[in-house]
Amino acid sequence: MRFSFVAPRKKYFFSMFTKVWLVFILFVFILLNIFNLFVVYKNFDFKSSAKELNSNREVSEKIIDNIDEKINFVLAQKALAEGVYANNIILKDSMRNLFDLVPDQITLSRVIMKRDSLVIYGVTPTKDIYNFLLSPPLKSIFHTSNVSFYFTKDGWYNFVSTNRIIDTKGTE
Amino acid sequence: MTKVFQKYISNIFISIVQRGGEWIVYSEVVKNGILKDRFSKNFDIKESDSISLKMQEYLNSFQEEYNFAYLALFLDSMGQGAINGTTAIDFEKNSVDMKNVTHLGVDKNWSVYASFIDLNWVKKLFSKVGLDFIYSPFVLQYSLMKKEGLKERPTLYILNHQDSIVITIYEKSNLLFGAYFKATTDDGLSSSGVDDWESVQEEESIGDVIELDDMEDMEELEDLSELDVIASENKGFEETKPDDFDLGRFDGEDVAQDSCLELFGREVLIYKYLTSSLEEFYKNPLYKSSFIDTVVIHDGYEVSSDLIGMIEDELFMDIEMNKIDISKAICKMARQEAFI
Repeated sequence: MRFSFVAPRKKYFFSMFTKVWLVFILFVFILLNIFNLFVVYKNFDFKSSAKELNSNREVSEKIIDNIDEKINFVLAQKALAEGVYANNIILKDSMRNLFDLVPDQITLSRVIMKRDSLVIYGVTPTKDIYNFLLSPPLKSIFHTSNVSFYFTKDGWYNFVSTNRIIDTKGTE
Repeated sequence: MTKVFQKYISNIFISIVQRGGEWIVYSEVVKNGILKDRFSKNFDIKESDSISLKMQEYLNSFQEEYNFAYLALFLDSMGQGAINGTTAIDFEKNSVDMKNVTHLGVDKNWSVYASFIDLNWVKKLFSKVGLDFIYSPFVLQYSLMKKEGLKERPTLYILNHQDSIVITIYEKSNLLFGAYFKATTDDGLSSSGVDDWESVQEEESIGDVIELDDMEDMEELEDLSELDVIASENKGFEETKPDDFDLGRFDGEDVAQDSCLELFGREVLIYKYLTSSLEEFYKNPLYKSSFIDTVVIHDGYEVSSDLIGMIEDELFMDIEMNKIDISKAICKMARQEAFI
């Protein structure tokens, strides 16, 4: 039953000041939450992109390994080729040296050249020509030098000279 | 929604009653239906168009402290009354201009009304603090008598406030007759003399609201205690002069005797109001007459055995006395209304 001439003023649990505060706090709370969500999202985003980049890196590393292997292979090939080339030059030089060694009186019929040995088949007019002209340089180059002479029909000598270099490391 | 949780937190009900040149501010703090605290403070009425700064601060301090602060004012102004019936026709029959009053139907049987001028005046008075309830003395009296139990037979009720008297006749819960009188004795005895009372009776019973402006003027004058002005305005002043002179003779002699005499003067006034009201009730065809033999007095001030004796001996009526505290009663009404 209403007895008053006027209706009571509206009452509120919170005063205007408190309300403003509450709204402000709520606003800040929402704002921070949004920011938090943003950070969480960004975090997730970075993580996933990091994962992706990581896998990319792994793939790249594999490719790099592959390429490294290829490079190594090519380098080995190059070294081999260089070795072959150098050997050839050495061989050429030693051949030339060998032929330079041989005096005009002696005719070579066959030469077997190995890394550490040299076997020469040839014809010489006399044993002395071989012993004086060819033997000294061979002896100075190789560690051992043996020679065998055979008579030919025309009175000259066939000879087989076997020369060896004894590897200091003992590998023959 | 708010109402559900409201009772679990502290509510303060502040009743403001004008009494003898003072504002009686009485407050009750209620939490969960239990009275937690009460405060009481009086403030002098200095200006007629606003309340004092101290009182404003006092009331606002409560309103700041409690979110649910209800200010209830006991409307103690001339421009109000109560009539039987609630329709426009009833108002017209009682010569009350509905356009100038705020009215309130009570139990669909009768209405209380107060003039816009008076309501706006009190609203302006409390504009800095605000008001939640404005109670007419009639509804206060009604709530008191309802609490005590309604009488089967038509009964006359008197609400005795220091500054005013409300005389009503109820048949069960239906108001048959209602009148409001000013009863300022100390400085306003002459102004509320017989002649004045007659004009008041006219105002109340016939309810000529057009003259409200004049009444407000009179009130302001009373507040200012400008007796001379009132006296010169009131032509019938001479008739009350004997009373006034009696008072004057005792002035400065014995304070107790003086106040006793004042009280006696006031009671003569009440008696006059009572007899005139009864006369009006019996004689005016507007009221449905029935014989009244019981008077219930709700006493919020002081009633001596002299008045009781007068009523019993001269009017041959039974008297029922109930001491009340108007401030507390107002608080109680506010409490009931706030939790509807």
